[in-house]
Amino acid sequence: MPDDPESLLAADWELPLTEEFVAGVRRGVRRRRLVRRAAAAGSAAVVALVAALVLTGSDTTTAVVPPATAPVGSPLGGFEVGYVPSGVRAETRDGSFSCAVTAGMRECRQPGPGVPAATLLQRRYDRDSGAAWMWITVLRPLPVPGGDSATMARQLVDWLTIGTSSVSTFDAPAGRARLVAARGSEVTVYSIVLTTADGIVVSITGNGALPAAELTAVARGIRR
Amino acid sequence: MSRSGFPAGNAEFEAFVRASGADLLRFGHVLTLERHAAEDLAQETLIRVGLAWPRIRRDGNPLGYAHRTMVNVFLNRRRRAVDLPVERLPDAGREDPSLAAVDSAAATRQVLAGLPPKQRAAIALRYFADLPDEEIGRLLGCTPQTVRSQVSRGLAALRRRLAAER
Repeated sequence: MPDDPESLLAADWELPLTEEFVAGVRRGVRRRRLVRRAAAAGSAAVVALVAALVLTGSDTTTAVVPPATAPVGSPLGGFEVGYVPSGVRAETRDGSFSCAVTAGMRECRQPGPGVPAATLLQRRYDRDSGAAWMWITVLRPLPVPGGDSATMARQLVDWLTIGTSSVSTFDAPAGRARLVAARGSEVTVYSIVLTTADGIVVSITGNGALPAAELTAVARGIRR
Repeated sequence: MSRSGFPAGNAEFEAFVRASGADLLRFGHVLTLERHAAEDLAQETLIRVGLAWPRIRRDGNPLGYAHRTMVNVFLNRRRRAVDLPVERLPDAGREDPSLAAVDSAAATRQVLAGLPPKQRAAIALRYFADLPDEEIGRLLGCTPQTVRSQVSRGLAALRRRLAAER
């Protein structure tokens, strides 16, 4: 068996450098320069206009009302997804995992026999450009005898909200939802953690460009 | 605006994007282990490099700056995000010899996915960005000795896993 690091790490890591990728860099640099110039100009009107033109959808407070339409795609872990932001599409294959559930858990570890665990079903949504955009994950506790789903749901929620601050809570058709924010130096990433009455947890999270209002609309569109 | 589409005067930056884009995508792929996330990370990195291009060009090491920026963006995002698994990896085939390469690649990814982000970044910086341990330590906020220990432990895990596959 090879022992040198290069051989050990020899997997196919190459990704094609496409014109679309180069164009994305070009657009990104141009947009951020515009925003910087607008901000430097100190004109609130200019900032608002540029923000509206360039960062469409970045408003975190404007409500987005999910349209009453048929479910988007097949159910995920028993839940219908009734609304997704415009211009995103679901990956064709959902992810499926199992994690051991413990108090203070910080990562998904493979559960051993007799250990409380949860199944995770995850669907990724990408923008038309191919950029990863949003993830919905259904976490279903599998308690061991003597355990209970409510405790496990709390442990799962604690895990999902590590490093975030709570923004608001609200009732959604599928359960009680909490909007949380992970605030970085440049980007704030929002997530919603929804807990059903029977202890199933649904996590909805986006990348830094997905506004809280859109995530909230997704949460309100999730039904059994 | 230049013919390249980048703002006027930034033809050099466009040339840099085209020359180093594949390298940065590969580096991002090792860090994130996921194609879309790697593209997202590489694009964000190059946008930041583009915004600081006049200064970086003067400093004379744009690729080094890009590697550092990418690691910082990667680690900052990881600090903000819960480590939800994002992809089920294929079970390793054990009987078809033609699948051996695929098995090794999957095992490599699984081992790297199981490493803490800093340890994975240390390996990526050592073997994919060719940075010395002192520079990696400065980037990751640890000593060169810690870098060596982290890389060594990561590679040992990889060796064990690949040995178990065979």
